[in-house]
Amino acid sequence: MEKEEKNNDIDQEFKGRNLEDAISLAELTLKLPRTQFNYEVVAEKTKLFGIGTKEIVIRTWPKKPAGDYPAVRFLEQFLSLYPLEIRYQIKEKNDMLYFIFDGMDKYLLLRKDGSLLLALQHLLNKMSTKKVQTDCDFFRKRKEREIKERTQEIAHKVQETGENEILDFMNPYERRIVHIAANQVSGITSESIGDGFLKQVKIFPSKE
Amino acid sequence: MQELVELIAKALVDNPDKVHVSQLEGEQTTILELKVAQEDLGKVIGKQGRTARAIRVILGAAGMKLKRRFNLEIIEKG
Repeated sequence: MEKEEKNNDIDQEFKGRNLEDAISLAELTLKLPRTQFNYEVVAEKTKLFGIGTKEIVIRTWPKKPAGDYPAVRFLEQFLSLYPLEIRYQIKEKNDMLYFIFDGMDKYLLLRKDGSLLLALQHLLNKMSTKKVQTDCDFFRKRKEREIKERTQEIAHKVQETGENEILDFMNPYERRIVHIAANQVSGITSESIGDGFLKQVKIFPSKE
Repeated sequence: MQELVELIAKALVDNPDKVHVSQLEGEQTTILELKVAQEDLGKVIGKQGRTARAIRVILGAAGMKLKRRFNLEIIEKG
C-alpha cells in the first residue's frame, strides 16, 4: 500500500526579487534553515506591467525520500536489470510523482521525441495510484515551448488566410498545449478531431 | 533481458505467478516470448496496444545499447 505522507506545509511556493530573497522568505515562513528543505526555481520572469521589475518563484518541498511507492520499488528493480546507465530523482508535488532522469545514457531516453521517457512513464503510471510524470533535461519544457510556438505560427497563418489547418496526431498532453496556444490568437479557435488516444487538431477561424 | 520482461509483466498483471518468459537467441535477434494468464492479456497489451508498445520501446533502447535486436512476442494461449 502507498503511504500517504502529506507535507503541505513545506510544499509551497515563494516569490522574491531574486533567489536569495525567495529562499530567505521560505526560511522565515517555514521556520527551517535552507539545508532542511529542497527547493527549485519554478519561474523567473520580468513582470509585464511592473516597470521591468523581476520576480523569481521557488517551490520548496520536504527533504525526505519519497515514500515506499510501488512505482519506485519497480523502477529500482527495473534499473538494476536494464543495461542503460540512468539515474533518477523523485519529486512529489500535489498528488503527483515526478521522476527526473539523468545519467550517461539519457540520450536514449530522449531520442525519437522522448519515446523511452514516455514509455517508462506509461508503465510507471500502470503501477502507481498517484499520477506519474517523467522528465529529463527539461524535455517537457522544451517540448511545450516547441508546440506552443509552432501552434501560434500556424494560428497566425490561419488568421491571415482564413483557411483551416490540421495538425499531426498528438497525445492529450500535447493537444492541451495546442488548444491553449491557438485560442490565445484572436479570432482563432481549435478542436480535436478523430477518436483514439492520438488525435489531430484543427485550427480554424472562430465564427462570431 | 528475460528477467526484465518478467519483472515488467509481473508488475502489470493480476496473476504474476502465471507470467512466463522464454528467450530464443538468434544470430542478431533475441526473441522474447511472453505468456500470461488469458485474463491478463489486456494488461500487457494495453489500450490500442500502448503497453506492449512501451515494452517494445524499452527493449529497443536496450538493443541500441547492447547492439542487438530484441523482439517481444506476446503469446496467446490457444
